[in-house]
Amino acid sequence: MRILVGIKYGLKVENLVIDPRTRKVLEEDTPKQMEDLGKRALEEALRIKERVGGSITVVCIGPPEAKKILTEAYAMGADEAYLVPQENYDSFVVSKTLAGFYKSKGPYDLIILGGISTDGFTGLVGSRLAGELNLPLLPLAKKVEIKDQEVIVESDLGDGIYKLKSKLPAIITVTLEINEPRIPKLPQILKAKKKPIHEISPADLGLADISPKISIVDTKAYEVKRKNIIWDASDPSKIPEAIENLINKLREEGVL
Amino acid sequence: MSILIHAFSERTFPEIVSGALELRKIIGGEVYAVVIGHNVEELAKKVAKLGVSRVYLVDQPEFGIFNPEAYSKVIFSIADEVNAKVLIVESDIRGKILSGILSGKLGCGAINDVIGFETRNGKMIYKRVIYAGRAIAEEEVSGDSIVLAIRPGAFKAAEEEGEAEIVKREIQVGELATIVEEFKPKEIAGEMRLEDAEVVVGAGRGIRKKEDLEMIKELARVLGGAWGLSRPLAADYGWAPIWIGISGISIKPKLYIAIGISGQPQHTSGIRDSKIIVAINKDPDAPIFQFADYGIIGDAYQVVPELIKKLKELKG
Repeated sequence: MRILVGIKYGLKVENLVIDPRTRKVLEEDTPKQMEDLGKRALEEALRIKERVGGSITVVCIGPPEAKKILTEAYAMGADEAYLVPQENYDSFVVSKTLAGFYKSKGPYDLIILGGISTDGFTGLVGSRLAGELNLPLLPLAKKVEIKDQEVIVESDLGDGIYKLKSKLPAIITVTLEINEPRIPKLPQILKAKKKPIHEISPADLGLADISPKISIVDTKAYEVKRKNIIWDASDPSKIPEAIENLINKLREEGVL
Repeated sequence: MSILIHAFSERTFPEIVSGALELRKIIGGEVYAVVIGHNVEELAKKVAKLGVSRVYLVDQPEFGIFNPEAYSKVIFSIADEVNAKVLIVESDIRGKILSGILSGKLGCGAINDVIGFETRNGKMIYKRVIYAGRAIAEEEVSGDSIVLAIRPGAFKAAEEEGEAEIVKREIQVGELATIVEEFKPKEIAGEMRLEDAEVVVGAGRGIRKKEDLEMIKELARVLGGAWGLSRPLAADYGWAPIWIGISGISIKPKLYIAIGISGQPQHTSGIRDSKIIVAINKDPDAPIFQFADYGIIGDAYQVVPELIKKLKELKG
């Protein structure tokens, strides 16, 4: 089983840095990491490999600094890691690049990606790739099963739980519930640092002139204007007083 | 420049149509709708009264259950027939899958979670939710075609206006690469819909057992409201079919009480429009307190029963 996993060098949304005056999101100042769902995609690939054997290629489209998450992917157990250097990308560029990578380095039996990145939050890459490569799409899987040359996933698509089946090759996108990614141990981390991160340019994938379809002209964080009146009732004897305060306030607000 | 719309339900169609009609004011052209499913003629009749130019009805047994591949083929085929350059779908989970497949096939730009648009210096600016709902992005799109997924609730439902013709189309999608082997629809709870409730009580991982939800339900009853769960309780533990949060149901009650909920971005983004937010959590550092008007640091298992008791006393 040859598996291709796409990971993203994404913003840590819990630590989003926001300019207090303009409400602009300061991407450069926000810490970055291997985006969570992509990490779960890699974890799922590792589990599939443990069950049925095979090899895992991890690819990241991003800036040179993204090499550190590819090293992390090695530490988790990836067999091969590629960086496609790209500073300016949207879901169009990323899916085109993945399609180019699949065609040039493939074929792969499975492509596994995160269903939606917490930062970019478009949720478009996996389904765009399916449209582009004309491959079966098994979206937002919370359970994956491989049987012979078939893959079956279980997905919550809002109106119900779907069991979707297709032949390989196929594209799976995963959701939060699928697994808990492993945390590599020190020897694996040290070994990973010695492994090569291959670079392949967009031009090598036949995408020399590719540019995004979408350009973000501005981002503004929502303002959180809450009163933040908190009563400490860690000591249970304080509970009645806290509740009385709360009820009084809710009455003043006219919501009780 | 024609617009083609697809949505799934009677509830969301009017809102999505309304967004499309707004867009037409700027870009002109016709607005067509496609209704896909099995036994969906009634829905098509309703959509025909929303001010669109024409409704395409694709009503076949094989479309009774959503299949992303089949639905995208149908939309693609109708889009081709009417020469639509703008495809609009509903930004729920299924709609966002469709927008990806369609834009991938067309090689055009796509924006999900659209909540508005305007023209600025002669350019279209689309607004969408980004960073798990913590911010709004303003975006420009290059190219002639575009696929937009509009968030339900972003536009006020379209009013009835005229009656468009309904054109039936039979579409053969051929052999599908992806098959729906099994589909378990979510049961609609007999209780109040979270979206409509004026008071909502939400429970998170601080609630350790499913039986303990009884106190959450009891509190909701005493307050005359609805109850819901955070994503881990609904999706991981399977205690309810749907969760409160931007990836589930976004709510805007007058009063939201978050119990044992830590306050992950996807949850807080889904409750942002609540008038008053109350948090009860034993962890003083839980992020939910930053998003709350009032909070009690304390053990939910002690605070909630006491709160119920007090509220009952007040009601006599």
